[in-house]
Amino acid sequence: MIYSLSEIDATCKKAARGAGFSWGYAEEAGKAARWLAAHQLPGVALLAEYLTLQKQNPRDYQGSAARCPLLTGAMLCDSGHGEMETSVVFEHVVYPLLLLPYLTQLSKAADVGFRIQWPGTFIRCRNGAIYIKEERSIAAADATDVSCDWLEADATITMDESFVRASGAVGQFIEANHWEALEALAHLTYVPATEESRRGAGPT
Amino acid sequence: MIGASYSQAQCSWQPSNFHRTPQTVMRLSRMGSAHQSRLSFMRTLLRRMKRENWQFERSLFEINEQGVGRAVYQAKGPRRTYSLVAFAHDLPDDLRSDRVIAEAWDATFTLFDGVPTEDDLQRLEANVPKQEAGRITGKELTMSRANRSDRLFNSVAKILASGEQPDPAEIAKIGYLMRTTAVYGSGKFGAADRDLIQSREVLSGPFQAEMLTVWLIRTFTLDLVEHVAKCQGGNDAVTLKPEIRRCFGVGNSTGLGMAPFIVNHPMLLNNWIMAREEALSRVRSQQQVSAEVFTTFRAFVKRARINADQWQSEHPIQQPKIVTIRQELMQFDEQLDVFDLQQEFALNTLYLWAEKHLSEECQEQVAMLMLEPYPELVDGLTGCMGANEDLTLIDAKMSVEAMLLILQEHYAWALEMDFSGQRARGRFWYVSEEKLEPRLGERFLEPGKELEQPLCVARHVTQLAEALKGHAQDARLAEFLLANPQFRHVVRRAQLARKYPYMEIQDNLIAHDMLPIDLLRLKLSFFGATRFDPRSDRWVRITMFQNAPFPHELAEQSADDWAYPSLQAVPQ
Repeated sequence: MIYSLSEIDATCKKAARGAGFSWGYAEEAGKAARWLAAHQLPGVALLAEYLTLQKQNPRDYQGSAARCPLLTGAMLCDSGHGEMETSVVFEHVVYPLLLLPYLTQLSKAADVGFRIQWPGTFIRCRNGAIYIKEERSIAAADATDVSCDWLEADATITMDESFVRASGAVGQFIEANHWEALEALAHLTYVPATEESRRGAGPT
Repeated sequence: MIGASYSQAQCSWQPSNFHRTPQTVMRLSRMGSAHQSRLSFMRTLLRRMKRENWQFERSLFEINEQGVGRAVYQAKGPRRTYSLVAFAHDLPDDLRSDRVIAEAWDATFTLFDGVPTEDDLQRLEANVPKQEAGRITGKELTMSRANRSDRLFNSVAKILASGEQPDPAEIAKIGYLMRTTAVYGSGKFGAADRDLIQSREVLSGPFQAEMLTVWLIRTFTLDLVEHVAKCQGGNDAVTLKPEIRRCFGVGNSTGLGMAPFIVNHPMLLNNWIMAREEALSRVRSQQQVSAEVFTTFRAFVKRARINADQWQSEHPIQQPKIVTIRQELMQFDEQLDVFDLQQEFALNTLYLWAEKHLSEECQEQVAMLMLEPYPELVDGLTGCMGANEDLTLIDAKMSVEAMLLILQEHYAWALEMDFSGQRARGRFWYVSEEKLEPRLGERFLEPGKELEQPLCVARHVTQLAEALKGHAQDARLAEFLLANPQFRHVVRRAQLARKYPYMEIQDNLIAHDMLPIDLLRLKLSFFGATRFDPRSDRWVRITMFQNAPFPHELAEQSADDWAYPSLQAVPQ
């Protein structure tokens, strides 16, 4: 089914909260999923898988063996562009595509382009334009090393225009199993209604 | 414009002598006394449509004798057409419920982006009548439903069928033929995202698609009653006289589910309030007030008096406020009889008098009436009432000490609160499993407090301040947040307060005695509602677009002179 960007944002935020992330991380996860969906990238699918695993076994994904893309993204944003070396490698990041929205937000705020890659995937971003070259599926799950470079102001983008990934506010088709997984996690944030709680909430 | 100068300011915004401060206006009791103004979203919509000479057409009306069927109303602007698609149903009386948990309605609606084809109509007919259980698409901008006021609908149909006109006094007792119980927009249930329409001028302002939907629904409800009357009375039946027809608005029940909106949209709230306060300060700072302006203001005071006389509510909090505003508006009107309007800053003097002598309910009324004579100072501010609500980056390079200073400067009102007692945190906001709607629970009586929504800003701020004090003051905030991720959302929010002075409600939103209707009234006042009628501490009934022109009258009638009864209207 096609879901609107705001549905994706809201459901992923609640799912991240349901999976145990703090409200601050959860709202960032919702916006990350929204950004990826607007670019027709499989953020919702990856988040559904990742949050489900995270809920089942949190330690596997927050220990040193593998890095959480949401926490890594948040740390990256917190450290700011100016603090980062021109080139940096994030080791053992699972679901590395989920890092991309964090990088684009930072790059937009700092008005600087970047290059990010992991085995089989090369992404460039400049002035809001995203270029993606996939040699293997962009939807990698396994922990992998992600390298990132900020582009100098005068650096030129040398990627083929055919790799441009446009964004549009048209929603995204989401597989039912992914949406159900997110809703199951979101459900953990709801309180069962009682007749008492209904009383007076609206017209009778 | 105000937006630019404030958004670029890194230091704290300072109000002028004519601005009311956030400490004054951002209190629940004052929000619960808010009144509509020239800035309201209903008025903004109609002014623009008239200015741009929009054309309207009922392009489809397939309704049978029982009042069941479908209809399409097109609104054609200079660049685009929007179509209200209406489905009228045969709803048994025992299924008629205004609760959000209802599953069937008298009529259901969607606002289509363009002109729907027959295929679109069939797709919509399979989904819109189901509301939340159906799906709409990016071609639709809103989804809504309404129930009849059975008594008034049937009686008006019967009277018209017999060739008579209904008594305006009887209409005034209810005010509408149908009341909407929800108007969903912004991507809900698959609808178009706001991103898609916010660059379109007519829909760029807050809730403009929703207001257009309701305005066209109003037309449909009147067409429907006239159609039913015609079916009943045949050649004897008449249509409503235009001046009587305009007495009908659209009823609206707004419940608890809408209350968290203004807490969850701090930048938007700031921009609404800042536009309103900027408007008032511009008017108060006029050194000379012309006789013409004064005459207009005076006329609006008298019209507001008629409005107050017509305002009915049985709610134990609202009822005495209505009695008071009637007395105080009379007192204010008498004050104007002896007022020297030649003096400098005359309106400011009057405002200060009101602040000193009148209740908040009446102060807010008078303040908004002062905007009426000044379209040139006020109306342009409607362009500043939207907000780009992208999640902002946290400035995590600042020190823990600097963050604490932000709290001390912008959240002193919260830091003074004492949350140790049960009464101060007697309630908690949560989302119900049943309808995914926000609800308010009793913290010490009901289950679910561990699933509390983060709406208790003041409490979070006090907790954050305590945690910051316990951390190394020269450490970076990034380090603090890594160790204390539970404060991530409130840090992001509090950092915004430097740029958005009116973004926080400076009260305790989880106190045992807080009134959700105060939040609802503020929002509904910006919609343009009058005569608020709280039905409990958690939901409010209002009437929208009452006395406004209909689409086919917009070219000839004033688009913006209907919010208060005319001077010819007789108090009931």
